[in-house]
Amino acid sequence: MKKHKIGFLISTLLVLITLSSCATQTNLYSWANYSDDVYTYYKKQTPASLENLTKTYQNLLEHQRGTRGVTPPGTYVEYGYLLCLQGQKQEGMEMINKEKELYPESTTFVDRILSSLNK
Amino acid sequence: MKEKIFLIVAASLLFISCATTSYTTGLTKGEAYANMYQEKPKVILIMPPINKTNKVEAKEYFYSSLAQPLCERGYYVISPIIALDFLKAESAYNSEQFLSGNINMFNQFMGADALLFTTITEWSKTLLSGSITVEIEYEMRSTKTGDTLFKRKGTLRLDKSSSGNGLASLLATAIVTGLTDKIEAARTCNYYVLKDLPQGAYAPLFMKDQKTPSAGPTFNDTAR
Repeated sequence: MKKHKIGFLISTLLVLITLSSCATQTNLYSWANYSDDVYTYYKKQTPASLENLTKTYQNLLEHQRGTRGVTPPGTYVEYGYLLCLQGQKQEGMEMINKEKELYPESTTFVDRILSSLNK
Repeated sequence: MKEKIFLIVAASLLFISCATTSYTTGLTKGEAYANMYQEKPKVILIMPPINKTNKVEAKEYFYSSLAQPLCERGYYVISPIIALDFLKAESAYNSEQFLSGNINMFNQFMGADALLFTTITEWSKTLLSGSITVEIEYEMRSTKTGDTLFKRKGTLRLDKSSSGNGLASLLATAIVTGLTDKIEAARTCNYYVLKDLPQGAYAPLFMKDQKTPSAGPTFNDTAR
């Protein structure tokens, strides 16, 4: 009886491992509701959609559980751009510059944004 | 005895479950996308999708859901929503004109190493099952050489509804018509097709996946 129990326990464990092993996907970044919120905001710019998108950016900046442990490409620059468009220029510019620090290959693009905002 | 059989079944399940996908193409990624490994593009600009369907929204579903899977493949993706403002200002919003010819200005202007084009030729929903069928082509072109680095084309059915009949599946079908599910369908399609893209500089298998089997340049499949 005891032997049977152990056998059953091992098999159950194996099944559990099987089920869990392939389910865990390793992502480089955490995204929250990014694509939905960005779509909704650009489709219809309402105070509610703006608030949702802002919250998502803050979430992406604060909580990264992906394997890279850093903010995904574009987050700083998009959040900063949004802040600038809403009149929070200094905070926005600082945010945009952080994109360059984190992703130096974005320099050409980021400088283009900064010069368009300074016009 | 029963337990023994159960144990054997469980153990064998464990071994087969995570087996690597094999394809009938016989191609490796190194063979299918040799130009990718030669050029190693880092910065990608997503071009506004070319929409040949009568569903205007299809363009936006794809445009807003491409950055995420591409970043997950290890690339730096130029923010599509900001790039859109620039493309509009430069009258470069119509992507079709850049499918061939010189695209070096995108390197000078935005720092892009490659452009990702998508052409949607079908976006349809089956009312009964709630599944979405997409016919689409993805093409990545180098801004330096103009060469095609990656190209895949095909049909993908995105089936989100639960199997079986009855009220539950009817309800599930109703949910599929929601906005989130359409973006989800586009995103699933992007993940499906870009899974074959060699990994970029931020991904663990960068320049190490040449021997990985490739699903090949065409697809005709169902994704859930």
